[in-house]
Parts: sequence; C-alpha cells; structure tokens
Amino acid sequence: MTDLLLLLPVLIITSGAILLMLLAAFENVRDEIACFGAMVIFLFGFCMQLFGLGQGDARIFSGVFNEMLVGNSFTAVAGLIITACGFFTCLSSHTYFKQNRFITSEYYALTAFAASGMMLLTMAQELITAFISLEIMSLAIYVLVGMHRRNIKATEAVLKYLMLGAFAGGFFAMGSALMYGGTGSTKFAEIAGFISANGFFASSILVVGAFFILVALLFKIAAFPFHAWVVDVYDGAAMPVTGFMATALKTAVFAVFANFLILDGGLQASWVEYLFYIAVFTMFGGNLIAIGQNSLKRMLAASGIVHSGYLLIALVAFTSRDFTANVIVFYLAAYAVATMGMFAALSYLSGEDEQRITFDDFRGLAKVRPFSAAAISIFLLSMAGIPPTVGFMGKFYIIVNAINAGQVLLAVLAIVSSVISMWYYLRLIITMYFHEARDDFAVAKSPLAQATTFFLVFCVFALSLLPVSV
Amino acid sequence: MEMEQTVTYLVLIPLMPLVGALVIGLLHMFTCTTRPLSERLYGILGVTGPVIATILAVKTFFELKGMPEEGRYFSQKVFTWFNVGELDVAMGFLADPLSVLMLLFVTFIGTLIHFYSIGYMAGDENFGKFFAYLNLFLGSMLILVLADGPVVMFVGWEGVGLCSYLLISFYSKERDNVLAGNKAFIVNRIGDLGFILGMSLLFWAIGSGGFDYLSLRENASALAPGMGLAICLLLFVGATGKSAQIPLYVWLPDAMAGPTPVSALIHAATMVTAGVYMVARFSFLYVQAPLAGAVVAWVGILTALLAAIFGMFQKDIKKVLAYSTVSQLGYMFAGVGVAAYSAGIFHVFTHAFFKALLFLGAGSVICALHHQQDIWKMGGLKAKMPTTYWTMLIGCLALAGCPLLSGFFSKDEILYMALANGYPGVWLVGVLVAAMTAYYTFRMFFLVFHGSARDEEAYAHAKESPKVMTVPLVILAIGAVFAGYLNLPAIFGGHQQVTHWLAGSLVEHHPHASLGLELLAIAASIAAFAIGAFIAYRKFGQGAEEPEFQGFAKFAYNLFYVDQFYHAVIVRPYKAFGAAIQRTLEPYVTDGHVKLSSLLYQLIGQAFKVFQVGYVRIYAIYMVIGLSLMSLFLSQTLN
Amino acid sequence: MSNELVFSAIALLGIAFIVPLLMIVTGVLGPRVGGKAKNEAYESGIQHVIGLADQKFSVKFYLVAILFLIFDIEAVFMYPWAVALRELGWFGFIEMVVFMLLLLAGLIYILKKGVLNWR
Repeated sequence: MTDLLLLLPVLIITSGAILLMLLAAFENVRDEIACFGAMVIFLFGFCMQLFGLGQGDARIFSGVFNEMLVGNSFTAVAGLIITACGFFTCLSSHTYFKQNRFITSEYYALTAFAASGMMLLTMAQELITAFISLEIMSLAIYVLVGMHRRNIKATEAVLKYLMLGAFAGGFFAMGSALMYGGTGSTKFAEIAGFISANGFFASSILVVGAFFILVALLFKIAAFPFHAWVVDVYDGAAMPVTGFMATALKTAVFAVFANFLILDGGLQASWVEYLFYIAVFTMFGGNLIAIGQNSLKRMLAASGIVHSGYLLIALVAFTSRDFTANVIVFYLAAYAVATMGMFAALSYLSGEDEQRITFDDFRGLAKVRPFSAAAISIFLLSMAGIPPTVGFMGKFYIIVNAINAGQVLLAVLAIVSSVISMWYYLRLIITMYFHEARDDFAVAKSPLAQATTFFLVFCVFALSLLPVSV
Repeated sequence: MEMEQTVTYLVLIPLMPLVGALVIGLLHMFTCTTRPLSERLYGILGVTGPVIATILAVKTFFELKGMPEEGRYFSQKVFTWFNVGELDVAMGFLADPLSVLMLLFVTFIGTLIHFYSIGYMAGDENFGKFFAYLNLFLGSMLILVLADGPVVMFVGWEGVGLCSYLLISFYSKERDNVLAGNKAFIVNRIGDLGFILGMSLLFWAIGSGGFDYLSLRENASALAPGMGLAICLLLFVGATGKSAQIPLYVWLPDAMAGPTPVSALIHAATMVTAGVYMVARFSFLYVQAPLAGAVVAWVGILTALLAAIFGMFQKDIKKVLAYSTVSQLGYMFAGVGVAAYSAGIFHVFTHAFFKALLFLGAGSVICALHHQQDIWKMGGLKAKMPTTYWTMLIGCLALAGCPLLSGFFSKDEILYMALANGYPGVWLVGVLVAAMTAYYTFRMFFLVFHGSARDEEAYAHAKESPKVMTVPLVILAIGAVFAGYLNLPAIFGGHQQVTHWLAGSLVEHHPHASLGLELLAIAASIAAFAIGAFIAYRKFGQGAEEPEFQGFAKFAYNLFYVDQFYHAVIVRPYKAFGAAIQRTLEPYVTDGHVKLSSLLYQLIGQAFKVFQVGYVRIYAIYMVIGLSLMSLFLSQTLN
Repeated sequence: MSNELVFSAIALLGIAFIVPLLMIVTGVLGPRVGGKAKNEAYESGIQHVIGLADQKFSVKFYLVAILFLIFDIEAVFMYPWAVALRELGWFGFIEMVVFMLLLLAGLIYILKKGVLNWR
C-alpha cells in the first residue's frame, strides 16, 4: 500500500501525459481544454504526492522493480516541487499563448511527459533507470524548447541543446558502463557497498566512470565548465518553458545528483575537494556572465548557474544525510518559487511575441503596473537572499550547513557571491522604479499568469516560515 | 508537559485581529482609488476580530480558573519557527495567569476602542486603512502578551512599534504628524536595541536549556549575579523605550498627533504597558538582581515626578493626559521595581480602564468642539455634554486617586509596597506625585467642564457625541469605578484576588509589615488626593483666565527644554557627523573603491560575454577542456 | 594508477588540441593541385551518379523509418517474453498488456495525426 502511494504521483502524471497526447490527436480539441486538463493532472499529482509525504522510506515494489526506485521524504518533496512547477507552468502558459500563437495541444502532453521523467529521476536508485528517466525528461524538453518552429532563435536553441545534451548523455551512458565494469552493479546501494569495502580508488575504471557521470550531471545543472549552453537555450525557449526548465529540471537533476553522490552512492568523500572548486567557479562564473547580459531571460539563465553553485555547496558540505537533504530540497523549493514567479510575471508582461525582453523594455514598469513591479521585486530580492523571503532562509541554511561541515571558506565565498549578484537583481528593480515609463505594458486577457505571480509572492513569504530541522 | 495543558485555540486570539487587518487592508488597497466601500462594512469587519478575540480570552480565563493553582497554564506550539544550533524557537503561545489578566483587558478595552472609532473616524477618507492598522495593532499586542518566549514576544514588540508609527502619523498630510511618528519609531528603536542585547545575553547565559519562559524560569538560578544585572538593565532599556520612561519618554506626548482612539489604545491597553508587562514577565530575573530593581524603581518614580510637573502646565487636553500616562507608568515601574510585581500589573489593569475612559472622553470633547484641543479655549461644557461630563468625572477621580475608586487602590498598593519593601524615598516622591496628579487632573477637568465658555462660537455648536461613542464611555466608567475592588487589600476587608491569581506567574515575596505602616500609607494617599484636588478647585473651579507663564512655570511648560536638549546634544551632532562623513569619507575614501570595483566587475562581466560565442562546437570544446583539466586535477590530488 | 589518469588526461587534452591543429596544419602545408578529375566525387568507380548528392528526401521517409524501428523493437522484445511466459505467469502477461497498450496509444496518436497518410 505504501509502495503504491509513493508511486501514485508518477503514475498519475504519466497516464495523464498519455491521455493528453491522445487528446491532442483529435484536431477539434481546443488547446485550452488540454491546458486545463494538464492543470488538473498536475494538481491531482501534487495532492497525491502531498498525501504520500512522510509515508516513510521505502524501496518501491522492490520485487517488481528490482530496487530501482526509492520513495522517501526527500523524493516526495522533490516530487512536490516538480508537480507544482508543472502546474504553475500550465497556468502561465495559458496566458503566454494568448500573445504568442504557436502552440499545439501536444505542448501540455510534453510538459507532463517531462515531469514524469523528472519524478522518476528523483526516485532512481540505479544508473540505467536514471539514464532512461533522464532521457525521457530531456527528449520532451528538447521538443518543448523548439516548439516555436518558425522562430530562428528557438531552432538555434534546440539544436544546441540537443547536440550538447547528446554529448552529455553519451558521457552518462559511458560512465554507467564503466561503473558497472568497475563494481559489477548499477545500483547505487551496491556501488556504495563496493566503495566502502574496497575504497574508491581500488578500481580505475570506477573512477573514470564516476567521473563521466559527474560530468553529465554537471552539464545538466549547468555547472561551470559545462554551463555555456544554458544562456542560449534559455534565451531561445518560450518563457514558460524556460521557467519549467529552470525550476523542475534543476530540481530533478539535483535530486539524482544528491542521491548518487552523497545520499546513497557513498562517493561524496572522494569528490569534496573537487566539487569545492566547481562550486566556486560556478558561482563566480555565473555572476560574471549575468552581469554582462542585457536580456532578462539571459540574466536569469546566468543567475540560474549561480544558484547551481550554491546548491553544489550543499553537496560539498555534507553534514548529516537528513539535514543536507533537507537543505537541498528547501533551497530548490526557494529557488523554484522565485524563478517560477519571475517567469510567470514575464509570461504576461513580455507581451506579443515576447517583445519586452531586455532590461530597458521594463523601464518604469512600477509606474504603470505597480503590483507586477512589486511582485518582480520580491522575487528578485528572494533570489538575492534578502530577509524575510524564502530565498534568504534557503541561503541561510546552505551557509549554516557549510559552516557545520567545516567549509567556512565556501560559506564566505557564497556570501560574497550573493553580494555580487545584487548587481543584476537590483539593476532590474532600479530600471522598473526609477525611470519613466515609455510603454503601456498592455497584457493578454487571461489572468492566470497574474494569479500565479501573486500566489507565488505569497509563497515567497509563506515558505520562509517552514522549518528545516537539523 | 502534559497533554491537557496544550490547547489549540490560543493562536486564534492574535490571529483574528491579524486576519481582520489583512482582509480590511487588502479591501482598502484595491478599492480606495476606484470605488470606496462603505464605512459600515469596514466597521463590521473591524470589530469582528477583536470581539472574537475577547470571547476567546474570556473562555481561556475560565478554563484557566478551573485548573489547580499549581501549574496553571496552557500552551500551544503552532510550528517550529527556526532551529539553529541551540536556539530552538517555536511560534508558541502561553496562557498563564499573568498573560490572561493582560489578555482580558487588552481585548476588552481594545474592542471598546474599535467600537468608539466607528463614530470618531466617521467620514475620514482612509476609514478602511485606519481599521486595518488598528486591528494589526491589537493583533501585535496580543502576540506580545501571549508569547511563550522572548523571541515571539519580540515579534509582537516590534509589531506594536510599527503600528504606533503607522497610526501616529495617520494624518500624514501634515508634516508635524509624520515627524511625530518618526520620533516615536526612532526612540522606540533605541529601546529595542536594549531589548535585543538583553535577549541575546539571556540566550548566551542560560538559553541552551530552552528559550521559553518556563525553561528560562527553571534555569534562572544558574545565572551569574553580574550577568543577571546586565540582562535586567538592558531589558529595562527596552522597557523605557516602549513604556516612555526617562530618558526615552519624549515620544509619547508627541504621539498625540494621531487620532484620539489611537492615543487611547496606545496609552491604555497596548504598547506602553508592554514594558511593565515585560519586567513582570521576567520577575524571576529581577528578583535575583535587587540593584536592577532599585534602578527600575527610581527611574520609574522620577519619571512620574517629571511627567507630573510637565502635566501641571500643559494647555493641550491630550498633552495633559499624555503626561499623566507617563506619570502613571512611572508608578507602575516603581511598583515592579520594588518587587511588587502584582501591584504594578494591577495598576496597569486599573489604569487601562480610567485612562481609556479619559482619552475617549477627551476625544468626545474634541469632536464636539471641532478639533479644538486647547483647554484654555474650553469651559462650561458640563451643561452641553452630560454623559461625557459624568464619565470624565469618574475617570478624573480614579486617576487622581480618590478613595474608593480603582486608581486609589492600585496606586496605594504600590506606595505601600514601596514603603514595606524598604524604599521610603520612593514612597515619599510617590506621595508628592499623587498630590500633583490630583492637581493637574482637576485643573484640566474644571477648565473643560466648569466656569463659563471661553470660545462662544465653538460652545454654541457643541453637542453630546453619538451613542457609539458614549456607550463605551459608560462601560469604561463602570470599569473605572469597580476594577479596584478586584484586589481589595485585607485592611479594607478584601482578599487581594488579583495578587493571588498572579502568584503562579510571578516570583514575589509578600512582606508582613505592620498595620501602622499600612495605615500611614493610606492616610498619606488620601491626604495627597485631597490637597491636590482642593488647590485645583480653588484656582480653577470658578473659572480662570489663561496666565502668562513665568519662571519655573515657563520652564516646565516648555518641558525643561528636554527635546531641545536632545536635539542639541544628540540629534544635531549625529547629523553633523553623518554630514561630515558624507562630505569627506564618502567621496574620498569609500566611494572610490566601491565605484572602481563595480566598474571592474562590469568590465570583467563584459569580457566574460566574449566566451558566450554562440557556436555549439566551441561549447563542446569548453566541455572537453574542462573535463581534461578536471581529470588532470584529480590525478594531482590523488598523489 | 594515478599515472593512468595523468595519461588519460593528457590524452584527452591532446585530442582537444591536436586534432584541430592537424586539420589546420594539413590545410596550410599540404600542396594543392587542382584539376577536373581531382575535383570530381569518387563514387566507387561509377561515373556520374544519377541525381544530386545532396538530394532532399521527403521527411515522411524518416518518419516511417522511425515508426518501423519502434514497432520492430517491440516485436523483438516479445520473443524473449514469449519464451519465458510460463515462468512469468499472469504477472508477466499483464505487464506485456500494459506495454502493448502504451504502444497502442502511440499508434492511435500516429493514425489520428495522419502520419501514415502518404500524400
């Protein structure tokens, strides 16, 4: 029963995705119906996931699935974030596609497929399962990125993403094979057992394999040397898709990263020093890229790199399994709320064919749409980590975790980095508030994206009250 | 903690007004410019929260009363707020005898003031905003009172400070009102600093065993004497800010800039009593630090004296009342300072009734005279406003300490305890202040209601206020008469119910003094009242003309130039210091670095853009280079 | 063992740099002799292949090829399943039914979208 309860959200999202796909096959079905259908599915999945929260730590149907999937509070919270992101993506897409007319009904089916892949990824306890879920997710996302076929930027984005993604996927597959060669198993638990029995460096095949998998995962979260794609891809994708990628995808990959690296794979100790530098370079590299950007989407993409850096800190500074896992999901939720809200706001504010996209386009927004400007400011402040927002609490826990683990230098660097990140967050606030408006900021009729934005503003404050137990 | 002591409805008490504030605030925000909603709606919404809170408070009181005296408390942990190291703070609420006593009159008087405000604020364009703030104020105060530990108390503490700022500068079109709000806020912040420091020290010293009152009380004995003294004094600094004691009392008279119901709320039920409540709350600390108690007592009684002197020469009716509040607060601190916590809290309790009554009565007068506040332009209103007259008379008698009214019993208790606990100096000043209190109270009363009208035109238009304003006056007048009988000392045949009730929450020793001492205290109090009232009657009872202040009177009328002194000694040098830094340090020392580093960063950022070439093959090369470097690095670290 | 890693790292770096380098170097250093015969495509001895080398095919060919692959793999998957069916029992049967239903859903989608209409 517990097993079923833990698996149910994935089942709901997957079967929902198939239903939506069949729905899309009928030409007379309007896109709106698909949109509302997807909302219902995501909401249902979210509720079920909420219901399954705290149902214990179990390997789901270990007999049938051969211990491939695990369900615990960590995966459940990650699932909550993913389904919530899916739901809010549908809401903001509804408004977005009133102004940008290139939608087909498959859009929502693909969103649901991607979400199901992500949820499986968070639960994966085995390399091949992880690889397949990764690809389920990625394939759907590739198509979503390139949805606007007549737009040259979208086509460019999907091409880049596909090529580099295939590159990273190759690394993952190769790494899995080598890991299997080195340890004789693809299960995280057995790999961990092998490492604790023989030591990590006993088998050089294992080292190289783990290394390749690390590269693939670092690519997906856009960590420093593998970050270059993210700015162009985010820029080319449609606004809600970018939001979905920035939040749900990152959550899923970080979940598997955490599972593989520290929670179940037992690899963490071997990589600490190494991830240290990657985290530092990711934070500062991301900041440097973000500072130079003029387009909001590109800036947000680059700031996503920075946030990946903060999350890497949590992976480096491993204190206890529970606390670190809690810190990671809390930060992911914090980041997801603000980023989702940001992209929801941009979904309706960007106007016809995403005409408002640079910093300058948002001049004087506060004079014309004070509430939207205030909402955006709150999201930005949350990303920058200003109390009393959830972003502050997230960063606070990351730093506490780092200090507890003895990584004081990393904590200091994280603080320095977040001070630097004020540059581009405050820049938008200044643009919105201290310039005269030249635009009337006309938006679409559909109020769903606005509703999402303001609900997420509420969440920014409400979630900050949630406790994270040590 | 046993299960039956955990309840689920405590959180609702502060939550109800807070939800009201949110709802009214949102309604007002979204409709005020387009189509304002009716005042009736805001009125109903505004009083709903306080009324429910009052009902729940009464329910809490009776349930608590039904429990055995030992371990008489309820608590509720709503959620864990944060948990860092040893600091584990829950959003928790505690109802014990002390907080429930506060709860009862805060909700009761707060509710009455809400009703009264419906009449007083009628026709104001920001009617909705006013009720949102008022609800927020009450909610914050209830958090403060019900908090189960210093941190949650601080939330209410700051909330109250914020609301006082919002409400004092409510008529924000006039610059002076905004400045008064600023002053209240800034002065309070200075006090808050003391509170924060005290709280931090407290946590540092004994916080590891749990940072709520019950745990702190258990661990209090582990406190080193010097540390205890420092904590008590720092906490008292916080109290001087919030409760307007020397040297931070200057904001309270200026706080009269707000609407009169706000003054009533600040002075009677909320805000200023917070400091006294806090000291009583930490009675387990103050008992260990007698020196801190003495400081509190002397600061309190000197504040009482100073404020009474100021009160004797004011001409604004609300200023007179403001200084009377400061003065009465001084009494309360004298009470808690001499370790008579229940007496101090009891004076808070009775004072809440008669001071709310006086303020609302004054508001009624001000309303009738079209916002005339100068008592030298009033007179003869007895005939025009009978209800206001009689209720105000009761309020004045209670404030002045007329025997058999509430103010007499509570004030006498404080003075007697000062004498009994070995503070004869405090007692002596206290008796002097009692006489002065009677004098300035009746000076105001006679000038407003007796004699002949000094401003004929305003007098001609004056009429009694509407029911929604006079009914609260009558209710409060009843309270002002009878509240004192709740704690009737044995010498009058009473049983001191309040003191017994509070015994569970306070750490207090009751001295066994002689009957003679008690009689002496009572006789002195009665004499002080009689002399003060008599002099006031002789001078103002038959009508008097506004005198030219000379010498000391002028000095006192100008408040000893304390504001000017603060301005010259603190504010102006501070501003000059800031300006000097702005002129010298900022452009020459700091700005350069900051601007240079920001410029550098921008340049580097622009340079980094070069790497985002946009060619997918280049990105792939990055990956390979990164991978190679990483593996090289790995092999290095392995060696 | 770390020597192996050093070697592999150097090898990777070498590949990253040497391959482009070699291509550039041959381009620069190599002699260029033009001529009609040299410029012609070498097509296994056959002269003049019919049509253009970069002739465009309709995308439908690719679609059909991919669909063939998918359903072909499905059939391949069924052989081992059929062999082990007795041991797997009803559970295995239901699993395969679920699998087939999923493919059926895909087939319905394809049909409805008109992918198989050759026009």
